[in-house]
Amino acid sequence: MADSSAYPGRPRWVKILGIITLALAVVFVVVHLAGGGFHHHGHLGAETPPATNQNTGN
Amino acid sequence: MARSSVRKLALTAHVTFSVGWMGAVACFLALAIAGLTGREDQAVRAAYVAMNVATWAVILPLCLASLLTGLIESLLTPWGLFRHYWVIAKLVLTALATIVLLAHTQPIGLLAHAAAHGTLAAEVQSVRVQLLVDAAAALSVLLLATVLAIYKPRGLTRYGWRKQHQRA
Repeated sequence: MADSSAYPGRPRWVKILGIITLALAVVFVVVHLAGGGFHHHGHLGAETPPATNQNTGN
Repeated sequence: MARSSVRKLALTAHVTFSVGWMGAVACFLALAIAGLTGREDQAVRAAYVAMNVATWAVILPLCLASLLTGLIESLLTPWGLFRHYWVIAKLVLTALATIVLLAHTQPIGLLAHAAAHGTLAAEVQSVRVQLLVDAAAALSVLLLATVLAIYKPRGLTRYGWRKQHQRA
């Protein structure tokens, strides 16, 4: 006899959503760490940093 | 009676902040598209400056408010925080979106600074594309969270199952 109070387990949609979320999280991290990341663009093409911009009016 | 009013207030706040967050991300996406495809230099620069303002003044506060009110609401209602899978899934998606948003505030700020003070060099093209892709992904995640909140797919966690049987 099966125990009616036994936990039925995780629904299928949870497993599918979990796998998709995990895969997308891995893709996101890999893309950002491998070259396309923002950390390589510290200056982002700015011609003058803010500190050197103060005397431009003289 | 008083508890019911508090629940409704929490629900109203959570829906307002969440919908506002989604709308603000949609605007961010529109600005990212305008910044990437625009032909007029002034308009492109303005788009990136506006994206930075929107991030700090609207998106980030709404994101944190949505997360906080969601937590409060789950604790005030019989749904709980760890009893139903849809609540956990929504919490995980919101937490991930918040982390990703926090990680993007610096590059958005740097891009806005570059747009305001210098030229947008070709090397930042990948960052501009990245922001567009991430905004589209964020909008998809928020839409998914909305679908979960409305449909509330079945599925009790082990903890929720135990609690339900304790009450029965």
